[in-house]
Amino acid sequence: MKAFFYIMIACFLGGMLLAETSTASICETKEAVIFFGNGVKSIKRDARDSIELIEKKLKAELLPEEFKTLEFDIAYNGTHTLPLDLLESVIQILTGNISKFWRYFFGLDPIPEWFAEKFILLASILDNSALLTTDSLAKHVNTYKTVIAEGKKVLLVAHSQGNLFGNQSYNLLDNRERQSFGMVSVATVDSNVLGIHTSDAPYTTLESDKVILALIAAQLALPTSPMEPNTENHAGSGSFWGHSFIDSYMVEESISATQITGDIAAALDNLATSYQVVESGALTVSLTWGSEPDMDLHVYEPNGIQVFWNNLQGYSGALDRDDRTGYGPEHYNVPSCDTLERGVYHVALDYFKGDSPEVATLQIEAGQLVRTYEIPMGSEYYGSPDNPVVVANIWVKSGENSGYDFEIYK
Amino acid sequence: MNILQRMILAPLLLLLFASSGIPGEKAKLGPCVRQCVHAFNPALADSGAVEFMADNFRAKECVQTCKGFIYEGECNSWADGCCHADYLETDPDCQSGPPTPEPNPGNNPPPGTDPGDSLPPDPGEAGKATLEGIDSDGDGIRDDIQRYIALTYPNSQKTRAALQQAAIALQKTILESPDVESALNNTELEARASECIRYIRPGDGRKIDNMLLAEFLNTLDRSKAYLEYDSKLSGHVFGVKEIDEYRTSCSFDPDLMED
Repeated sequence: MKAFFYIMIACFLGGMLLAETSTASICETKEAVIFFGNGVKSIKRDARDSIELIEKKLKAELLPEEFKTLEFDIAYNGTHTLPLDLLESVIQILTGNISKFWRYFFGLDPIPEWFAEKFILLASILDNSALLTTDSLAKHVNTYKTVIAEGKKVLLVAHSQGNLFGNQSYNLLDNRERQSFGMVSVATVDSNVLGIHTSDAPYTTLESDKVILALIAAQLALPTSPMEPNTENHAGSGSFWGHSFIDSYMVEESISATQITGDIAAALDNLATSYQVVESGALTVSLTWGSEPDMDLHVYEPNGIQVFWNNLQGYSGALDRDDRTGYGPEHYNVPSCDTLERGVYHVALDYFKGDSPEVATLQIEAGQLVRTYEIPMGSEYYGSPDNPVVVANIWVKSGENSGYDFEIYK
Repeated sequence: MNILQRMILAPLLLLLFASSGIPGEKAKLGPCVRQCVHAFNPALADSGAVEFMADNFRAKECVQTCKGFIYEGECNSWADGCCHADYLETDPDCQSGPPTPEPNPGNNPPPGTDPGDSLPPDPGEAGKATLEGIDSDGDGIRDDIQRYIALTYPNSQKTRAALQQAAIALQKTILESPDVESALNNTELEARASECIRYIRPGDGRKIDNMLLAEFLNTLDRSKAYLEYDSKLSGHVFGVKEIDEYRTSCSFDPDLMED
């Protein structure tokens, strides 16, 4: 009996061995990355569901060969205490049933009016400018710049406060990068879409969106007042407050869902393919920093080869951009799965030349994993090129069907 | 090594372990620990689950949790498998926290099996007293959540297995995300579990995933801990797996299960 039991466990573990990431898609070249930028009511899993829904809609809308060129990512904006504030404001009414709060929050149970009113009130008094003081913006912009430098288009589908981040990101891109950056705006709390204040902008706001209506009422006389609602769905569709990306705007066969999907497809067509500064690939590492002249990226490949400014070509990949005039990027890439090695790639930094402390921003992309590290570089990082400081590691493991599985760790 | 070889080798290795007595015995149940369990939840102490409860309530945490109620006799200040309340800093038995068993260790059934037969008793309000809650069988899933999954989805082994994977990931998000790096790792686990649920339940996966989270976040402390974890993800970019690849996100092979 005992032996039988462990055979059952073994079958389970055997199953676990099968459960590695199939990474066929990471070996294919992508031409555009669609990001979802969430509002502050959305926790990360909501953002994940939103980008999944966009992926499904585009899969149905586009030709297979067009769809294959797209990558889907989340540019996550934190909730900035809104859910917690909401929970604490209604906790007495819930008489200790906290699960009930979450059921309302996720729209699993019919939302009572008092709950909706509390939410709308809290959402309408948010200080938008305070939201943008976080470092979220800088990390997102860094990612957009890297993707554009790899010759890809960036399209941000922004919902609610995600529009504030999108517009600010656009302002922080240079003119060349802006040609390859687009935004499709949904339920925007902002007054424009990438500087366009008119109905020509690709935006969708529902007439029934109670959050936007409350914001407009609160800011009627202000130049920052949200753009007017421009879309009306059939009566009865959508969630109680009409603001949810999934349950209000992307309801199956709704006018708003059709409009948003159409805007995304059109924006992809209209965006310029950017001038490629660095190569994209199955694994990339990008280093940017400030105005000090020279920071160096080193990568030790699993085979032992050190790739850096004095040895640009490794076995797996290459340093395809070495910058010595400040800001970066320096960029390492493994161009295809043909040379991707199983083992650990060590990423190291050397502050080669400069007078002041710097902050190095390191972005690593491996499979579905994206990691951004901001690393203060003080004098202790000065040293010889033979002794750079290892700051991150990328472990490439075997995956299913001769594929790959990735882990990134410090 | 190909998949077929793995499937053959893994059962053989574990069959060898089974016949040689590995894994080891249950933890010895000291009298003060038993008393601690009893003080914390009499219903559990009186049930067959008490042997497992010892793992989660022994040592310092048990003593701190149950101080004032704890049985003081037959417990020494030296290493005797019993943490003495008056010697929290020096008694070797008080120096480690409760063990955090690996999910699905050798003494637990495969995921998704036994929808109701071997369920732990309902922990009731005691299960809400701490952030980690009560996990009497040490499978990485709180007893109240284990019961919720089994009793809500008695007819689908796949669904139970996927939700158990999600519950283990959620427990890590609130207990093991002290910094950004760990939160980023745990959100990958959470995402894989969500993808697995959506593979198994393409029609209502999002709904049952969120229903589980609502059930999981049943106290203010747990809700705060989850939101704190979520806030550590702010500003980061996350790739998502293509929908066609969701099957590979399951930590088990759902296609081997019938329902």
